[in-house]
Amino acid sequence: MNEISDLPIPTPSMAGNLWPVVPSQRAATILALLFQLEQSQWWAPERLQAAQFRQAAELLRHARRTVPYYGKRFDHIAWRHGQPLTPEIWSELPLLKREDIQGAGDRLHSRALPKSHGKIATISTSGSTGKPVKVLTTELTATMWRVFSQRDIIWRRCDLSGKLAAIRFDRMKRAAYPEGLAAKSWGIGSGATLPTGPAVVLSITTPVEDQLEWLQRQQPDYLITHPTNLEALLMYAAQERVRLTSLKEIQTISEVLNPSVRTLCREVLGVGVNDMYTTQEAGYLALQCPGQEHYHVQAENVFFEILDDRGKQCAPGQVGKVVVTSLHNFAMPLIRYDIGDFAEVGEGCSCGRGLPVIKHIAGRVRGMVVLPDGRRHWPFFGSGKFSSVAPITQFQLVQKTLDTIEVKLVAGRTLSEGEERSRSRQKSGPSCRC
Amino acid sequence: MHSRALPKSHGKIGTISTSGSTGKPVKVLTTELTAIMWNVLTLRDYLWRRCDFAAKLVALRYDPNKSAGYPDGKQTKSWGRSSGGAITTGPAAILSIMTPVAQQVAWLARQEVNYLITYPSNLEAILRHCREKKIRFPTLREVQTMSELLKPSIRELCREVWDVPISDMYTCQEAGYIALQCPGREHYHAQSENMIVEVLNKDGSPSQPGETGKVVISHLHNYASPLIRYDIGDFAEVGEPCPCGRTLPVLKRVVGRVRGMVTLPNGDQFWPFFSNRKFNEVAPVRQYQIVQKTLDSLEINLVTDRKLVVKEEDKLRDVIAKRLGHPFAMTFSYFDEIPRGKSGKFEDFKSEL
Repeated sequence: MNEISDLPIPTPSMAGNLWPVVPSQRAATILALLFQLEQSQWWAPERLQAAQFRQAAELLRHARRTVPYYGKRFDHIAWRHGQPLTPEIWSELPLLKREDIQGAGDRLHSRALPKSHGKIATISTSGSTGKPVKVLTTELTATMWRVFSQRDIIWRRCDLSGKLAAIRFDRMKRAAYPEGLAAKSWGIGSGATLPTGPAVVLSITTPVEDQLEWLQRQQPDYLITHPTNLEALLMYAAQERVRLTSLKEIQTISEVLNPSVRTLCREVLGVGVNDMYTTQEAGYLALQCPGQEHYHVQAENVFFEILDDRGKQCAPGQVGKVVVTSLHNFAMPLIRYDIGDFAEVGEGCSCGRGLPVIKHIAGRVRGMVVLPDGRRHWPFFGSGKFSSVAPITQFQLVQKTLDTIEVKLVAGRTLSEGEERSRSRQKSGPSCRC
Repeated sequence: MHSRALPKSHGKIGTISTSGSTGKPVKVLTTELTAIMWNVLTLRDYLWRRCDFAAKLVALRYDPNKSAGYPDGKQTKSWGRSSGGAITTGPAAILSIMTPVAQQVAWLARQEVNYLITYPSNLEAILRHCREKKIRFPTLREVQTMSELLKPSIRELCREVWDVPISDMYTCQEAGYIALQCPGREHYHAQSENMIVEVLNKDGSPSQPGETGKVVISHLHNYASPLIRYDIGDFAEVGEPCPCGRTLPVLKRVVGRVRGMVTLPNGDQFWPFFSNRKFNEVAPVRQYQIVQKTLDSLEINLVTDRKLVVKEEDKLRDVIAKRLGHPFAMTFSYFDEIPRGKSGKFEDFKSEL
């Protein structure tokens, strides 16, 4: 039995037709894609890559012909449409940096988007790096976004009749405490295709104690939020000895998930964390494997590379920079886009899926600590360790110079000097000034 | 029988006339929704059979537009609307089932056929022809049968002559797919998403596994001319739940129509099965059709290699009487080919009572 067989009946769209449902055109599109995804996830890696390259070849031809930026940039590539696209040819394509996108402006926009890809929209990335990027999207990329959000729900075997709570960025400022925002369904991706239970949203800027109070009132089955926010929530819940008994699972989005948060979540709330890896620019990059803690690349949506310093493919166990190609954005093709993240390549997965494995998402360059001797790594701080020496509820470390770190804390009271000293040295090394 | 207010979303109305093989043609309205359901279940059939969609599909079937006559038949680029629209397929070819058997075989030999779809009676004639002439189609992977009752002996014959399996389906023009053969087994799964299939005993109670009763269907999606508890005139045996894991109800056998039943003078009724092999042991019979004219008389229509001698006719009388359990009066008629019904269907036994 496959996962699709567990799905509820799609949302009816026709008078008198309840089962089997003839879905709306939009839902039918999503279900037809899911049907294909159900098959392709089990393909052998070679077959998947061949399919990706067939799609990538179309994208490449389109980019060359209709996107001024690429016309010039790919001039030296000998490959011509109709010839097979190989990994060797692919690896000759130059990487696209964030700065390149900013510099190129509308020269990255296609001059001849196929009509069938639908209307163009613009998204701006969050700009957390201080360098916002504008990306064009199409109805096709929006459809893909919805499809992969559905796959996520399918993989997690969510009970769609449950209640979903999201504590997230609230751009429109409609989801403020104490009420938050109530919706009838889980959202565009699911509601129109499959019927779901209700959803509630709360702004992530709400203080943690109010978030917890809200969650107790809402009694959700599923919670979706950012890892850092989850960690703060968990610490507060542990302190207040609060459990959320209705919760079945928590999903984390948008930031790197510190593995200690998974453990903490199990300890405090008795539920697992399911993480996903998305970017606003290219949509779903990877979803957590059902039943394991690593990730599967969403190979039907993106061609995902992890490259070493010399630009070569990393082998399992190696960490390299993440380079993605959105296979379906023909309005503003992002080809070999260096998104600034680092990740570790995983071995083939025992679940049987042929989708490539990411063992670990290590985060952004700016998340790395640099030691005075030049060594770099991504530090993970267990909040439990912090609170074991002092009443700390939130922290942020900013490396200001090679040997100074600014430590920002939220604590129950002013810390003693001894408390301040005892934790910082162990992780960053004795030579750092804090 | 027609709705006065069909929901707009069900689409345009069409009309189909059933074959009228019973002499009582029925006109039924269809909608785009019923057409979608038909196409969807065609696709399910392909998926259940794990068809290779790149292969060539060849159909020997009823050709109402007379566009698929011998010697060319008709070549198409895809398997048809149901699959061609949703899934890219290989090519297809069709030849009218009214074509004489030897010509059908000659045509088939030119097709590089991977999947063959035809009526059981036509398949049987082709198989016997091919057995005699030692003709095989090396590219053939599976035969699908439709529209008539499939005798178990044809499955054996198909394995013997071509070494390929048969997948059978149970459909009716009025309501589409009733049941598809279970993948890997010889019984059928009711297509419960399309209709409610009931098998009822004489007293109207539901037949239990092992019991044979009349097939009553309710088409779940025809809002233009709703068919609710429609007695389609077929009989079927209910099966036990299937070990394949599908919970769709099981029909062990479709045993045929009322007019395929023989009635004995004492009132007993049953569906007779005749074996060609038995006939051939006593006479060179190529094709036969037995028609019950009265309670105690039969008409025996035959295609034979040569005129039979009286002794051979007597032996055939014995075989038939033994099989039916009654010494019917029998008259023999000889044909070059026994004609099919209007829609190309052929019945080896029919009752005119």
